[in-house]
Amino acid sequence: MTPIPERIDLTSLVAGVAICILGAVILLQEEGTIALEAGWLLSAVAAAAGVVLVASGMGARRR
Amino acid sequence: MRGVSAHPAERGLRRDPDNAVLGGVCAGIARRLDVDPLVIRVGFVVIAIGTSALGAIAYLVMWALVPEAGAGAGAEAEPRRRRRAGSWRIATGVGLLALSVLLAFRQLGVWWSDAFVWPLVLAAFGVTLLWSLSRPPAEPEPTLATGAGATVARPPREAAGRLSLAGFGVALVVGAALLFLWANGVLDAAGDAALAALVVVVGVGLVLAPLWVRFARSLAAERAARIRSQERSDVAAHLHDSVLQTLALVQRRADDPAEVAQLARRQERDLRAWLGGAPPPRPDERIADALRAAAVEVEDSLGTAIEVVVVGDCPLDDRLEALVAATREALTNAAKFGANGGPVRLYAEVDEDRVRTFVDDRGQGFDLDRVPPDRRGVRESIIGRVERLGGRAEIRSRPGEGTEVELTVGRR
Repeated sequence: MTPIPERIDLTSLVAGVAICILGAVILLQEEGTIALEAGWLLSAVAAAAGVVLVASGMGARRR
Repeated sequence: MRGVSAHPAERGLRRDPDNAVLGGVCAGIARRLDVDPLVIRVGFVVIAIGTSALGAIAYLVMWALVPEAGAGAGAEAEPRRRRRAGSWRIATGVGLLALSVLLAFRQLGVWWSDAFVWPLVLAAFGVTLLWSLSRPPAEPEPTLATGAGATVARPPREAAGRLSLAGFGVALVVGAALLFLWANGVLDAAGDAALAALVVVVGVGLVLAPLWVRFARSLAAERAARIRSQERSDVAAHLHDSVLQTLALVQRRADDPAEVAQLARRQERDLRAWLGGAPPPRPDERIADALRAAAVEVEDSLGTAIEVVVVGDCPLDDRLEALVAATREALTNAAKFGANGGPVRLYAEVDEDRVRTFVDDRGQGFDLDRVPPDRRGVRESIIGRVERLGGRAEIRSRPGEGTEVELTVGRR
């Protein structure tokens, strides 16, 4: 009997990385290391959400 | 055009000259992401306008740098265009990425004006939605109940969903136009006239709403009636091709009871499969179908009824093919020597780690130790075959009490 190889969940991976990056940016902002305007933050959030959605859609096609 | 899957040999990003408007860059990206090229094109145009032509420069750079896909790669898959899983998520994701780029350029100051770009974004979204919906929708898969190859009508719920999306698209375009006028001060000048027009439009909408609802309902009812009529035609055609033809054969072979029974069993099997909505059998690929095919083969050749129950399914491999062969041998023995006690039964169970089959008859039974050594059917074709695979074969039989053969083979 051979164990079934576990697949990497692309959506979870991309979402995790995106949240980590966003979290780091927000943390640096709060610490005062960087000073981002709301527009930049909005752009980063949109990019993160977009990447996660694209990954999720592509993941759905692999199944 | 609906996106198509990338050619296996061309997994990376390639320009798609078959579906190009300019250089095929957008079509190539759409093909890679498997989304509608229109989504990418509109995104590029909006970014190009919003960022004072920087998007256009990016397009030209990609035109120069991205290699061209092999001719015909897109056309080959064109007839198989279908709405694929995740299309909406990918399209929305691409839209959000485009929005992110626009916001970033706005922050950098590479920007025309909010009064122009944001209405343009809204209008582009609405127009993309409307254009996508204006194309013929993907054909749905035939349902199991209608059988393979049957014509399938689109459910009314899907039509209503498309209508709602079209309404949303129109609202976006109209909203974008109003936003543009308001942001540029035109609406203030014509404020009273615009308000009057809005009131009239709302009033007319309220008056026409019941008529529209009634029209939509009658359309849905007509559609449902057409679907029912189509299903009746499908059922009539199937009955003619199967049941009526078999009855005609039964009348002609009335003098041969064995053949009549065989025809009836075959027809019963076909009819049950059709009513149950079973997909076309794949005995070369799936173990459940292979076991059923083996039972049919034995039933047809020996004229003994075999009841088959298979729980679970998995792809067929060399080991399981051997198990099917051993099961067929057990069925043949049961049909030959144990059919006088009633129908032979085959029960199969497919687990994650093993496959078990049980062949059971209520015949005379036998004593395995008394089987002559030169009779190799049981010892070699059943027990030996299964044990060589590391499996287990158990035969439980006593004279006068029938026989049960249990075969177990582990899965790879």
